Amino acid sequence: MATIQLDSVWKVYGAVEAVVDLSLTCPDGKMLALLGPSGCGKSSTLKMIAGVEEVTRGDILFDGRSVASLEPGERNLAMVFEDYALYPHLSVFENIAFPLRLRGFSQTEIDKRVRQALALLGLEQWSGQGVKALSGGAQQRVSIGRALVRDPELILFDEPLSHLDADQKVYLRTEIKRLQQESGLTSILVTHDQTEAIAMADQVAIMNGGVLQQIGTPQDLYAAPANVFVANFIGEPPINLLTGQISTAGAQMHVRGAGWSVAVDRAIAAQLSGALSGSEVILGIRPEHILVAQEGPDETSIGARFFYRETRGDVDVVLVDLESRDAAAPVRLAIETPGPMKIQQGDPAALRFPVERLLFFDAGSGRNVLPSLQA
Amino acid sequence: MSASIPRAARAQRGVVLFTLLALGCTITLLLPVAWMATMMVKPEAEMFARPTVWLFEPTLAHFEYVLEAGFLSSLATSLVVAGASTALVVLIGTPAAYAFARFEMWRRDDMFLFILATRMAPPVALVIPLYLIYAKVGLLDTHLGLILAYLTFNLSFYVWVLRSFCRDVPVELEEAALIEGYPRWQVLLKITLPMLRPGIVSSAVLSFIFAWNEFLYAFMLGGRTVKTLPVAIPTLITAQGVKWGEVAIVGISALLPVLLVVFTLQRYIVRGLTLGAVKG
Repeated sequence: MATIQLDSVWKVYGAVEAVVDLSLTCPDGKMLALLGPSGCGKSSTLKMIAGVEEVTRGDILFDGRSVASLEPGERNLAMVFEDYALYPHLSVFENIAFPLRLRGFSQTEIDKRVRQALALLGLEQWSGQGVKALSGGAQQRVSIGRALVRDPELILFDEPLSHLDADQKVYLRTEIKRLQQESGLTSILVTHDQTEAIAMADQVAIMNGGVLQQIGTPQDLYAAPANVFVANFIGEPPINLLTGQISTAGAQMHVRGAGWSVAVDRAIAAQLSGALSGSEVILGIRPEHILVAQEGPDETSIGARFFYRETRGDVDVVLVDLESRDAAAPVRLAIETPGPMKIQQGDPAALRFPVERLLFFDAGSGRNVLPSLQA
Repeated sequence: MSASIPRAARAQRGVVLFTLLALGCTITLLLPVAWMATMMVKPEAEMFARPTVWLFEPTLAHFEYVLEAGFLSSLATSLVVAGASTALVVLIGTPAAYAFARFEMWRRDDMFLFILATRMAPPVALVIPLYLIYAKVGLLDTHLGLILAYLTFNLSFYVWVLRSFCRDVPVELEEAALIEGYPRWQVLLKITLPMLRPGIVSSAVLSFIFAWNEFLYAFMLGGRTVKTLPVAIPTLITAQGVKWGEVAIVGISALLPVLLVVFTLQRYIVRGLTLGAVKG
């Protein structure tokens, strides 16, 4: 096992900067997720770590030793692919034995190791079969077996679950996590699915447009996102973002937008006005943090009208439109409440934003200006 | 239930009709071949008797003539020329197609189009220059000359077709093997080539058939000592008339190797011709 370190890594294809000055560390025995939308550079990063793509600039270190100029085969790592990448002309057994054959293991040792892997992944009954007949989940388990069988220093998972059915997905997610923790495997997971990243990884690195946005534990990313992009990417339903202005009426400071206003106390207000580049602020509040009541608003609450209710079984997600003079472009918020809630479209609602749950982002840069508030 | 019976019956009738149609087409297509086959052993006198004589005393006279006239050596020449040029095409073309499919290189797409462009000129336009060059370097009327000529034609076709087969081999498979530690040439041998086999076989068969049937180049660049079957057949049009029985024998024996190749490699060819056409 090894500590994996990326040091100012760049990947440039012609004029396209796929990865920009990326530095991050995956501690020994942990799982790091690279999370981001497609085209964010996470797969390029993985391929550079694997060695199938060259590093344009910067260095990659395994336990402090540079591997950037090594061939993929010399890096002692294994990879699990999105499309499984099993060799279609070989049986399940031979697919798993493939990496061992090259290393000149004896037949008895190969037998022993492959049987172990098959047992670990519950694949014994398929051993002699071709891989094409297997279900997606079983194919991916074969691929994991092939990765585990030669004790690599690092396992790379490239979107390992994205082609699987929902039940297989959840099953294999747990399975991978269990294997990873039990054997203390250093692993890097690439995914576009925040649920996967949060459920599996110890650390999550969020990327966008080739640039690392934030790296931290799933809890960090949820509670104190570094910027609007991260806030928006983590959480389902996504966070509500409202653009507003800071206004001071006497001693009380407010953040006001179209049809809403939130009073902020003096300590926060002082920090806010110091940190913002202009007077505009983007207020973030997660759907599960808004308090909603089925009544007309009073002085301390914000008026809105119900628009739609979506039942999720355990909770309700209700959509409300803020009451605003500009009816053509209503501000719509999603709220998660422990339902069931009986509503009609157009019913009045009163919303409360708990101040301790609010996130403040600079409207110009999108940066979280008060990350310490949540952390 | 009541509706399903007539539907099943209708489907069955459809199958019967289709089979009859296919049978009709096959018979229509094979009849001339069968007729040609009877000509091999038909005495000269009954060759064009009207009405056609179906029952006759078979004769081996035509075979004797064919053997005496040295057609066996033409058959050997055809096999050598078509076989060797196809083997070279596969040997040179496979790595080329793979490189065009996988590697970044300077002006790759332009070069690729340039390779195809060698097939765009009508063959007849190139045969005179080629003749002059061959005359200079002493390649006229040699096996090597014909092999090289077919190589140039088939190579561009082969590379063009096989590149798309190469592209259909998922790059992840190769990456997986690279990560396992296999060097690039072993990845090519152990992973890529086995998956390319249908493509290689079907394109090679097409190359072989082209070289086997080709007349113009074989006639212009060979023709005296190096005589392939398509060139040899017209020599049966003699001053005494066309030797139809012999033409039939040579024609059928020219057909057999191609049939043999196609039938033995059929499962690859069918897979090769449908691969890429139907995406899963």
